[in-house]
Parts: sequence; C-alpha cells; structure tokens
Amino acid sequence: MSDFKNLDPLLHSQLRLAVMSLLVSVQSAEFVFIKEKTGATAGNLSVQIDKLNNAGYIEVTKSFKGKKPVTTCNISKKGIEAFESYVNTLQSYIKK
Amino acid sequence: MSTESKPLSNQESLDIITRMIQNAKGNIRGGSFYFLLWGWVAMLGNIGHFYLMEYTDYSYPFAIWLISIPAWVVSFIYGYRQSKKAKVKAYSDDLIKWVWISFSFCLLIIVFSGRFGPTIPILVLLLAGMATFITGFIIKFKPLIYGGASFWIFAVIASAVAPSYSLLISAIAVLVGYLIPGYKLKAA
Repeated sequence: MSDFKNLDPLLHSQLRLAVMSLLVSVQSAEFVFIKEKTGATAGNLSVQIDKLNNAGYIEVTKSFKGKKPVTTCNISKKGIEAFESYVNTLQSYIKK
Repeated sequence: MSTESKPLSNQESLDIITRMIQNAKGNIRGGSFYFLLWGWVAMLGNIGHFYLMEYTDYSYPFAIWLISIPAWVVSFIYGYRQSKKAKVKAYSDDLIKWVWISFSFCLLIIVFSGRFGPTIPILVLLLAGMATFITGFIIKFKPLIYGGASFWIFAVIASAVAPSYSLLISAIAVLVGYLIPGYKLKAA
C-alpha cells in the first residue's frame, strides 16, 4: 500500500470520499440528501461531516425550515483543491 | 456505507467518485412545469391575438397577453415553493433560472419599448429559441435542444408571412418547440 502514501488520508475513506464527490457536483446539499445518496447512518455521516468541516474542506450551515432544523453542506475552495489533487494523484497511479 | 476501516483500492475510489457524481444529478422533470404553463399561455396568447385581430373589431387585440400576469404569479409561487422543498441545490438550477430571467428582461424591453411593432413575434421566437436551446444543453435533454432550434426555423418562416400570420406561426412554434418537449420532459 505504499503507493497510496500521497493520497490525502482525509479523502481516502469510503464515506468521506462519497460526501466530497457529491458536494463537488452541487452548490449545496442538505444532510438528509447526503444520507440518502450515500446510504450511511446518520451517526456515522455526522462524524465524517465534522471531520471534513474541521479540515476546512466543507462548510456546514445550520438553519430552520419552518420549525424543522436543517443542516446544509457545501464544498469549500480548499475542499475543491484537495479533491482535485486527490483525483490527479489517483489518475497518476492508474497511468503507471 | 462503511467508513475507513478497510483500505480503498484505486478502482474502489474511482467507483465511489463516479457513482456519487452520477447520484448528484438532479431531477430534471420539475422544470417541465414551466414549459407546460408558459407553453399553454403562449399558445392561447398567440391564437387569441390572431383571432381578435382578424375576426373582430376590437381595438386592443394584444390585451389577450394580460393572461401572462397570472402565469407570472403562478411561476413565482411555484419557484419559491420548489426552492423551499429542495434538499439539494444544483449549479444548473441557477444557470437555467438566470437564462430565463434574462429572456424575460429582453421580452419586457421588446414589448414595452414600443419600437419593434410587427417584428415582436419574430424577436420573441429568436430569443425563446436561444433560451430553450441553452436549457436543453444544460440539462442534456435532446427534445429541448431540437425544440429550441425549431424556434429559429419558425422565426424565419414568421418573418416571411403577413404580420398577423406570424402569430399563428408562433403558436405552432410553441407547440413544437415548447409543449411537445415539455410533455416529454414530464414523462422523462
């Protein structure tokens, strides 16, 4: 697995990579949408979203729709750069 | 989906990225509402305008277009409700919205400047064709791309007939370029 040493460990995980791939394709998405599309449990997804948020890869906004609390996520500039760099590194391994 | 316990292979990483980007594609059917609403409004407007102009002595045949006022209200309410309901905001949503808002500004200038007279239906066809064509490309829906292009052909035909008949050509254009693709989009 030494080949993977340059892959960002924060992105090199199934669920976090799935979340980032979803968010890179849209302007913003609600927590329930991400949960539905990734098939993750709410607890697990919440932990991974926190990790991505703490790394500055995504931005998390909490608001209300009527009386219902809503968590919305969007990818940050830093997140886009990290995602692009991850994909480029992946491509360079495949080309080898 | 599990988290990070087992290491990912290159192929697994690529599969996740591809699947998720595919999953993120929004529901394009929602847009059919606007095509059907405005398609029928434009159809009624064109045919009504033609009828009032050719078969009655009514001095303001263009007054038929007042039917577009409730359609604007309905469009705004529908758009507002949809944006409140949506769990995801795609980049394409804003692009399409601004294409049609800019079309609406052009339409207001063409109609209310009073400078374009009988060429109004032709100009509207050209602009509606462009907006429909671009929308078709954004959502990658071929019937709308062909529909948008058909508006341009109808614009040429409309420019070759008597002004009142250009309204009938517009009605046919709306059917071919707007309503048929709109129903196909609804069924997609």
